[in-house]
Amino acid sequence: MKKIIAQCIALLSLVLLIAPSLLLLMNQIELERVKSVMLIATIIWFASATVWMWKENAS
Amino acid sequence: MTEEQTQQSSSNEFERQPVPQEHLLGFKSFIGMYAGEHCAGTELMIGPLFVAAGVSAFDLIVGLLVGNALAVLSWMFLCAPIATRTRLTLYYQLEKICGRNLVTLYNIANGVMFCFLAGAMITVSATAVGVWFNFPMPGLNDLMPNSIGWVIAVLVVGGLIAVVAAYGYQTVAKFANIAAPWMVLVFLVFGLIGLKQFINATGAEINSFSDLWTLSKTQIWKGGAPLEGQVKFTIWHVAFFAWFCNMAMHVGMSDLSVFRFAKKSWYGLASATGMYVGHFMAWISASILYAYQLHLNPADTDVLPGPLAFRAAGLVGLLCVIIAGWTTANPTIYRAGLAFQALRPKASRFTVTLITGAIATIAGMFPAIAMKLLGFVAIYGMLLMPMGAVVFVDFWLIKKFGLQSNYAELSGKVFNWAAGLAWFLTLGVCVYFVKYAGIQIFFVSLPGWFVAAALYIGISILYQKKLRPN
Repeated sequence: MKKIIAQCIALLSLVLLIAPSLLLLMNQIELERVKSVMLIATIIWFASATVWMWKENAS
Repeated sequence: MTEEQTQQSSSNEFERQPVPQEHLLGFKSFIGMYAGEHCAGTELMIGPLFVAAGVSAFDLIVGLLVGNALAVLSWMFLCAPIATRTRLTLYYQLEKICGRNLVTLYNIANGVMFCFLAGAMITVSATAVGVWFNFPMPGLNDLMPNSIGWVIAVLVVGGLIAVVAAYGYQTVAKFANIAAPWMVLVFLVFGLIGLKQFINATGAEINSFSDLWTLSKTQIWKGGAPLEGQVKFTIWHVAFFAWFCNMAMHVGMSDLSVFRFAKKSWYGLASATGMYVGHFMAWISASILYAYQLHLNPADTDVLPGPLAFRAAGLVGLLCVIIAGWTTANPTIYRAGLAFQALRPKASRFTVTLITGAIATIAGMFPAIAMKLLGFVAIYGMLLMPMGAVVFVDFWLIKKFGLQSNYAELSGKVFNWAAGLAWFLTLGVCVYFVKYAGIQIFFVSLPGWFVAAALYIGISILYQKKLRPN
């Protein structure tokens, strides 16, 4: 269960990573905001992906 | 089974025996591996260097589509079919053909080139440090280190990478796997943000693909003369570069060691993920960032991934540059260490990796390798390509000429002169073509492959006739 939750969060963080730059292209967001959201998405990705990918890599 | 084989089996690396059926891997394993491995720190140098070479939009896009397709086909039809039939590493296959001493020479050449490549990756990571500490960094035509700050930055970055590779290669490899999906998307974001910056700077209205193409060919990849000190790139240059930048791996057969685990030879198709993610999308994205820098200030020709990425994506951009350089320098230093360790098998892996990392760090201080990366990569492929031709001929053709394959193994020779001379003479011919026949380094490996194949057959006819065991 923990792994599934971590996978969902990791997937969402990747969406959060890419979405702001698409919104930027559509003039919906400022570049500085894009950078901030990307940083948050990066932290979430490494925190959540490590939970399930570290063990998988080990095996 | 001999004692030696038993020991090797227990390590599950199968370095000196065919990979057993139960250890073969599925298609998915190769997709992830190639996508991650070919999205490296050096992509952030190569994309900008295309722009510096005056490439036009059509030449870049079509050249990359064609060149990457040829690279994938080379993996599929040259490398993987032999790998899935012999299921041996390149080194063991070469040892059977060439003998132990010639393989040692090959290992040295391979190890040295790996060191330089890792040096370029350290250079890329060090440019991110420059954003924080603001010391003078190398320019496009700099060959030597140009500031104390730069030397210290490379020393620190390279030293850390070397120590970590020596202590915990596996840990970094695991981290690299976690970082890979994130890194691929950050590369894509570089392109999207760069595109938006261009749209804002030029005031272009983008309502259709046609508008985007017009912006691309008139503002981003304008073609024309290259920057000072750079070679002009046409569609042929781009296509051949994309095809041959991993020549050591496909035509050069280095990836026999990878595809020996593949159930089917068509798994070579998995290399397309690496080519079209790393060598298409990532190169294009990085080139947009550099083109934007030139658009803002045509005099600012420095190719520095750190500042380029920081301007586009802030702290995440810098992290991407550091992680991309680090996670790809790590296995490169490790592989170079393995190649060198073949010279002194009793030396500890830790010491060899540390020394290899030190050599790579020193190489990374000299921006010549990174700034001339297009030419360096072409030389790298050319240097190892003849041995790929030898393996190909030895596997498919040599028996048709009434000759023995795996001749060194059969005859007990430690140096198969037919293979050795085919290698050295081919390199001589290639150098001659480049120096005196006006063929550029990017193209010479194609005729070179046929020269190597013909020489190996021709010399083998003489050599095996003279030395054929009764």
